[in-house]
Amino acid sequence: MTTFQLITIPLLACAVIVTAVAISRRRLAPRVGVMWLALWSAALVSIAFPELLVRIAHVLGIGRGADLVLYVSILFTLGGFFLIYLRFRRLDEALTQIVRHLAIRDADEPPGDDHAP
Amino acid sequence: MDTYIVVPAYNEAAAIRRVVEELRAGFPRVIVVDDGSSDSTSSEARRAGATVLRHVLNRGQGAALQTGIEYSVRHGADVVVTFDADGQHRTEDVTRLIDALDETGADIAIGSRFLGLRSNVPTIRRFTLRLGALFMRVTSGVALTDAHNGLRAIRRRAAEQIYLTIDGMAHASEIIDQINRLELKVTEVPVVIHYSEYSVAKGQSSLAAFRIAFDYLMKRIFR
Repeated sequence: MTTFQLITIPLLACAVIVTAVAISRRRLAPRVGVMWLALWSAALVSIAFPELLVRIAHVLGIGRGADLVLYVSILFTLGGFFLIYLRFRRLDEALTQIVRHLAIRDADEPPGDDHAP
Repeated sequence: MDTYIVVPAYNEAAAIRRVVEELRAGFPRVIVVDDGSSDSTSSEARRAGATVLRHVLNRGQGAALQTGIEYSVRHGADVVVTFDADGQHRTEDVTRLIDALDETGADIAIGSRFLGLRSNVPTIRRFTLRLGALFMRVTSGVALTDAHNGLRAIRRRAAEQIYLTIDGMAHASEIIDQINRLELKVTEVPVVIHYSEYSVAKGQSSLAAFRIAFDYLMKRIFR
């Protein structure tokens, strides 16, 4: 076993356990929790059994396991950015609605005909 | 007939007073939506006799317009007119727009700087705006000669239905898209846009068209 494996495998195992506990105590929404669980487990398996990763890479037509990891992580990162972008838009809309609500609530006296020049 | 003039303004202290005074000579109900200005836009507008609504944060022209439209509808406006704060529009054109609503029975009248009357439109801007109108024709199917004019008159029943969700400058495209979707009847009216040094400096860069198109398309896709 390499030094890298000696360091990362226990860490990832801890991450799996912590996540599982968080899900069971309802600290994490089940859907989000399962996603993290899958991510940690995938990392754990591919570090513990690198030859498995290489075989999956070959099946997909990619030469090296490390390349597969690189491509997949880039895709996930882009997807993450996109989700954050969508969330930002929702926040922006909510913020505008609050600002509008305040503006209308605290408006000047409505204009009447007596204001006419 | 109750006409409310909605003027979205962001840091327009230098121009807003004259704009409001001129409007008030013909229309008593002028609503200035101060979009989080850091200058004295609000007090200048009040001094000129406008009703001021203030956004505590800058949210963009589309957001300010929607605030003003909502307020006007709530207070019983029969017609809501949108009018830019930088002095590029003429008060007499407001009357022309409202007359056009009556004559044509349209729900909304939009000013066009490319119909008959001559505006001193800079060449690059002319090109960008024409391209913008073509873009709107393709994406929403509404054929206008000037799709991005800030001067509009909207009948109450249309103002009640229109809801601008794009905070930034792409709201002009969004209005047209909603005209199409709500099947509102639209008419174009020749107006004059006055390109002063001030209004050009305060206005959009022509390159902003790309950003505006992006905002608009993202909204259409992820509504």
